[in-house]
Formats: sequence, C-alpha cells, structure tokens
Amino acid sequence: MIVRLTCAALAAVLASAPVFSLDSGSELLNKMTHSHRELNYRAIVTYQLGDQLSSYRITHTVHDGKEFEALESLDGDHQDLVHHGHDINCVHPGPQLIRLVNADEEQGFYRYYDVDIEGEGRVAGRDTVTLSIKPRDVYRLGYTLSLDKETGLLLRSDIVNQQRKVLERFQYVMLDLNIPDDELIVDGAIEVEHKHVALGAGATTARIRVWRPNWIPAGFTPLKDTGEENAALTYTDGLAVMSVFVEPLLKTESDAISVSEGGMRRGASVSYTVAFPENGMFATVVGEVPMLTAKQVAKSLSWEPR
Amino acid sequence: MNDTVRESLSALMDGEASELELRRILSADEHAIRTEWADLHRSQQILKNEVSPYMNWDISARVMAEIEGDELINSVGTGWKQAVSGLAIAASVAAVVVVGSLGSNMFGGSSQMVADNNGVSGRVYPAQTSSATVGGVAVSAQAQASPAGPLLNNDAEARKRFEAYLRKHTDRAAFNNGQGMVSYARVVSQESE
Repeated sequence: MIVRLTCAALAAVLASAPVFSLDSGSELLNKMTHSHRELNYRAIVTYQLGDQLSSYRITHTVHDGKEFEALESLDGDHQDLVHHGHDINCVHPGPQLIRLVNADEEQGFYRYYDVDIEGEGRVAGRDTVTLSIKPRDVYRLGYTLSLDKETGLLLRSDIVNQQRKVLERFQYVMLDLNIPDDELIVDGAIEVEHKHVALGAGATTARIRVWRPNWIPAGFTPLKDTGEENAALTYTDGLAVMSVFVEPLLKTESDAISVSEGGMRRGASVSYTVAFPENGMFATVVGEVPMLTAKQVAKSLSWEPR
Repeated sequence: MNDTVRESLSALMDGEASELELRRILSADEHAIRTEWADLHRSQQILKNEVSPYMNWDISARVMAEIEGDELINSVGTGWKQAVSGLAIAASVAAVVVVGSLGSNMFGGSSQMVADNNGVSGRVYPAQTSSATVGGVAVSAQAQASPAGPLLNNDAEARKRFEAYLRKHTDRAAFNNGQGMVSYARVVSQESE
C-alpha cells in the first residue's frame, strides 16, 4: 500500500520533471559510482560539519590504468593523504549494488531508498541534477546529492537524518577537468590503505571468524576483506557503509581496558561500543548510519562456542 | 509544547535524539509529552498498518516503581555514572512507556489496572521482543522507540578509539559510498581538531 502510494508520488514527481526522468536519475547515480575513479580532475571541496567549515584540494588522475588520488587540507593543520596504484578495474560492491537498479527497480539499492529528482542547479560553476534519496526504513540516513550533468561526479552531498536535518555536507567549489594525467605528487603525504574487498563470499571468511552480528538491516551486503578477518567486517547498501570492529578487552593479563557501552557521533559518522565480558571482547560499530542501527548491530553480536 | 520539543521527541522516536534533546524532553511538560509520544506512535502504526498486542498495556506505574527500587544501587556510583545511568533509565522508561501509553490515561485510573496485572504477569519487557535474522526486512515499532543510548563524546579514551576506527572504516567506505577520496575529509577534519 505504502509502496504503491510512493510509486504514485514518484510518478507525479516524474510527470512534473520535464527534462529528467527517473531513468536518467538512476543512470546518473550509476555514473556517479565510477566517474570519480575514471576521470582526471582537480577540485576544491568544502566539508561542513555543524558550524565548522574546512576545505580540501582533491587531485585525481588515471595513469596506465592506475589511479592516483590526493587530498590536501587547505586550512588548519597540514594534513595530506595520497592513494596510488589502485587498479582502475578493481571492483567494489557499493557501486555494484547501485548498478543492480537497471535490471529491476524493486531489487537491491532501490528497494531500500526512494530516489526522486528534486531539480536542476549549479554547483562549482557546473550544471547539476539534484537527487533526493530517502530511506524507506529507520536504519539508514537520507541523502541529497547534486551530480554533475556531464560527468556524474558528485559535486554536493548532504547527508540528512530521519528528521531531514543536515548532518554533514560536502560541496565542490571549483572543478577542473583538464589536468594532465601525470600531474602529481604531494610531498610528505600519508599513504592511504587500500583494502582488497569484493562482494562477500562469506563462506571463506566464516571459518576464521568466530563472531558475527545476528542482525544487520536488510540490504546491507558484507564486503569480503582479505586482511583482519578476525577483527573487522564491513557492510554496505550502496550508499551507507558500516564496519564492525572487535577487540579483546584484555591486552595482557593485568592490563584491562575499561570500555563503557555507548555511542559517539560526529557529523554523519557514529559509533556504538558494546562490551561482551563473557567472551572477553568488545565490539564497535562505526558508520554513516543512524545511531539506532549501530547500536542494534553492536548488540546483536554473538560468538560461536569454542 | 513548542516545536523544538516536538522535534526533539520525533528525534527520540527515531533513536536520533542528542543528550541535549533528551534533557529538553525530560524537562518539558510531562503530560503533553506523553500524549504527543503516544500520538506519534499511534499514527506510525496506523501508517504501517500494524496492530500491536501491547496496545492497551500501561506499565508506566510499574516501571516507575522498579526505578524507585533501583535508586539505591545507582546512588553508589560516581557523579558522571549517575548522570549516565539516569539518562539511560529515562530513556528506557521512554521506550517502555510507548508500548503502554496508547489510548489510556497515564495519570488517572491506570495504576489500578497495572497493580491488578502485577500478580499475573510478573516482569514485563515488551521492548525486547524484536529480533530479526540477518537480511530479513523487519521494522518493528519497538525498534524505532529504542533510544540512542548514552553518548561518550566526552570520554577521551573512547574518542581516541573512535578516531582510529573511523580511519579504518573510511579505508573501506571510500570505495563504496560514491564519494571516493572526499570521504577522508571526515577523518582529517577530526584529527586536526
């Protein structure tokens, strides 16, 4: 019933959007998931958290099928990150989930979010299409995304809670798509780790891990992770990502860590920690999800009897 | 009740209320809050076409009595512990009261009914009834009512751990959330604070 109403509402929105259909919206969303990895560009991006605003220069190039990325902070302390040598063909599950849409509208990503075209606008001097992405349940956040019409690059992203309050905002203020692909090198930057992750063949990792959450929201898919199988698990629904980390409460016989149950919040990111004294472990769920989700996932953890 | 309180209440219902909002709710007019809280849940249930078997239960008086009994234990804790546990209790009362408050008068007459139930039902924890299997689509009214829990933003240890986890999480998230390298602004802006 509600679904049908939503469809009707969607249809109404579509009828009133003269230029863009939902198809082109989802096409653009699909484009978003890979264009930021394939293009050469330099951009200035602002990141807003409450009343705090910080800015960054992003450089992305593809050279010989390998990605190079750098993020330099432009205010406050100098903080630079680089990431290079990432194979352009390396597949990640998030984009795959969004791509499923084209096959069946009620499958995958589109089963958990309502995607509406809100209108057209301009960001960083570029023509954009704004998509409003609303979660269909209480376990995810909402998004307002402005995508570059030409390339699908995500030029502005508002993450909003269930009350539509903005939790954090990224916005490009300058975008240069004409930079040479060998343009590079930030001195003294910190190398970013790349986890080799793929859609979850859970069977291979289950043998090693003795814990698992008994509940995750529908639509979240585990990433298979070649390292740290025993300490971390990450899930994504295509937009939201959350990770579960598990650590022993006792580092040595005498050195117990004091862990209090509770949550942390910063912008759209939250964490929720729960101690499992009977297993000698504590678990923390971190992600861009509502606190409710992090809490329920953390509390649902169980260990296989050894 | 003003709009700010109403917004806070709606946030609490979605498990998104901050500590400040929780305090705002607790200091607002109790009767109005309870009515609004019940209304919010009733309208949501109607929207979802759900009928709760707990519709007509009112266990608020019993919960209050339990809390009264718990106070002895709480008073042993240190100042902040007390504050946190106080909040937690307030939150759990809020969560449990939802189930019971629909359609009944909270202050008059209801305590009699609760007292009558005591001998039969013993301890009642309806808020724990929701449990779904991995991958199942389940949105229960109870789940939405459960509060966010205590925030540890002021705990330096916890904060440090949060930063380390967020960094590791971002390593995984950046390739899956459509934002790419921009995601690291979350980590960097945090470290430079």
